[in-house]
Amino acid sequence: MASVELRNIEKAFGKVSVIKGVNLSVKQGEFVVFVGPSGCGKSTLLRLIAGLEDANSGDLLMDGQRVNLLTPKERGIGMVFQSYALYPHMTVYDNIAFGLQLAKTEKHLLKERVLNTAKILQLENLLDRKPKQLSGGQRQRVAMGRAMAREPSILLFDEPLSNLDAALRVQMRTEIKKLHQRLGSTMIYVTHDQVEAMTLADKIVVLNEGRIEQTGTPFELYESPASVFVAGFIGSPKMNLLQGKIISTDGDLTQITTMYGATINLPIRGSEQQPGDEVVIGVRPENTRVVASNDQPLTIVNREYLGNESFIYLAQEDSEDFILVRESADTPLQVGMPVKLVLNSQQCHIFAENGRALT
Amino acid sequence: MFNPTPQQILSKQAKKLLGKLAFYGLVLLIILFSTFPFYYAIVTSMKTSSQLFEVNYWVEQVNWKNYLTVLNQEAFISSIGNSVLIATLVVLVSMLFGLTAAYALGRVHFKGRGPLMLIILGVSMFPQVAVLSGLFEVIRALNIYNNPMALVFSYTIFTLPFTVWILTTFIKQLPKELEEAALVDGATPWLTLFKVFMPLLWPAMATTGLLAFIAAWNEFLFALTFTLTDDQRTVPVAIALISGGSAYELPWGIIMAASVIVTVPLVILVLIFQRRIVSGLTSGAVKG
Repeated sequence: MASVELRNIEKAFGKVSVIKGVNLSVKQGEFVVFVGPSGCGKSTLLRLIAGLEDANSGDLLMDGQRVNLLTPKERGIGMVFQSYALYPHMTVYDNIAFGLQLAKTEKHLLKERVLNTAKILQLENLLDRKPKQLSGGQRQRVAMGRAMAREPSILLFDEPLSNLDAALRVQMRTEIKKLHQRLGSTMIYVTHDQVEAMTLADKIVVLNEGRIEQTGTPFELYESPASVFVAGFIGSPKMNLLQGKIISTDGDLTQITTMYGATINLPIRGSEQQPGDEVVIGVRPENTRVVASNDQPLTIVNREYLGNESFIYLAQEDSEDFILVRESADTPLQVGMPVKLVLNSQQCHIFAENGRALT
Repeated sequence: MFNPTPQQILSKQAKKLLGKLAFYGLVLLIILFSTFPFYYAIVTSMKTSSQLFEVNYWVEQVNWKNYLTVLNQEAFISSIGNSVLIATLVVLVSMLFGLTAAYALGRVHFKGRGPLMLIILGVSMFPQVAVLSGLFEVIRALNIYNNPMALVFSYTIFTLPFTVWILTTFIKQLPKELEEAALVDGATPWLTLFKVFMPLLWPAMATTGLLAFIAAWNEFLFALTFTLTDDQRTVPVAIALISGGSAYELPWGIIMAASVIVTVPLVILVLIFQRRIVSGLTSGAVKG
């Protein structure tokens, strides 16, 4: 069990700066997920915490101690790799026991620990097998067992589910969550899949181009994204992002019009924004409503029936961009209908031109 | 659609048969070409001195006399002992240095890695004769002249480059995560090399080890130059120095018997490691 703190961590490979000044604190027992598009530095950040890479500058603290110069073992971390990296020539038992053997654990204690780990992960029947005789999900569990066996204070996961098929991924997700509840250890988990992030995390850290975009609970990130990037990244299907313009600022009420003509009034402080400023209006597909109308240049271009709901795609005639609306499965809307957007100002997120949210 | 007449079918079948015949004929030719010298050595080793000058392609009578003569020579037995000792030591030393060097060259990033690899390769390109006199001085200076260690030392110089090259290639192919997993588990580089990498490198090690063994076993020039007395000779030199009753007689039968005796262990070794060698030479070519 340990807390982790990053202070102004920077990392560059040659001239390419990958991590550009990250500050973050992870509480003891917390499940933190790093999420972001590929190349955002999330894996590098995890490897810095693991001790597989050295930071160029900044401090890394664990339980208040500076650990920049310590080896992974001295930091007391366990890590699950994306490719599992099981030792191919060793049995499952030996794979799990390897770290304990190196730590010169007493024989009976070692056996007890390995068997206990195997029991938690339901690997008891597989202990004599070699990795190549295991299925993907089983290998995944062995990799977790190997990371857990030494009872590290921090468990690190580097995209552990990305090699599994969709059904198994959902199952392993639940198992990892259960494991966290059972062990109560600090876990840091890297993924590019925002669904994994939402379902697993106590705290999500959204990374973009080596910087933290936003840190918060899944609820905070979904309900109040701090930037256009987070708004577009969290949530599936993606949030609709519409271009808009401020019409007037009147005290605490700002009137905004979208490129499609819908007008909304929002309680944004007008002092910083001027009429005529460009803004981005974000609205989730489930909060987007349409009614049949000839007023706006929008038509329904596609309708996807999913059984429990329907996705309606709207577009302007000459535009590639579309707006997604989630409707009930039996919606009367049909392809080709001209429609009008109806936005509820309380469900809209407004972002300034620089991408930051306006409140 | 192609609708063949009976004649066309016949000619097609004939073509197929001819192709098969040509293929197996060629195979037979290659086998004959590569094994005939050894086969002829066996035939000759079974002959008495008087039969030597009759050309025979079959063993007409099994005659172990030449073999008994060879095995009764104490110097020859001791030369086999020397060869076994030297070849084994060469393999062990090459493997130890080869593995550790390959780990550094394949895994550790340092400046001048590329040039170093080229220098290592370059060393193996010198003809033996070019380094003979220089090496002789070194061996004199080390005071190991007429000692098996002189041969171990000089053979290792020539076996190490290819050992290092092959093992480096194989180590480079091992996934990086494997090493990192070992690091996270608390393994030192030494332990990573011997407990994680070495078991995975067995095929490569069997291949290079066997090649080093054969090279050391068959080497002649250094063995002749760096040894003086009969009890320090290795097998190739001992065979070359077998002499007959007079200066005008070369005892071919005995020489061939000796050659067969020293070749058989190699053949057995190759057969034992055959499967490993094959998997060693192909593994890594495609991901297994």
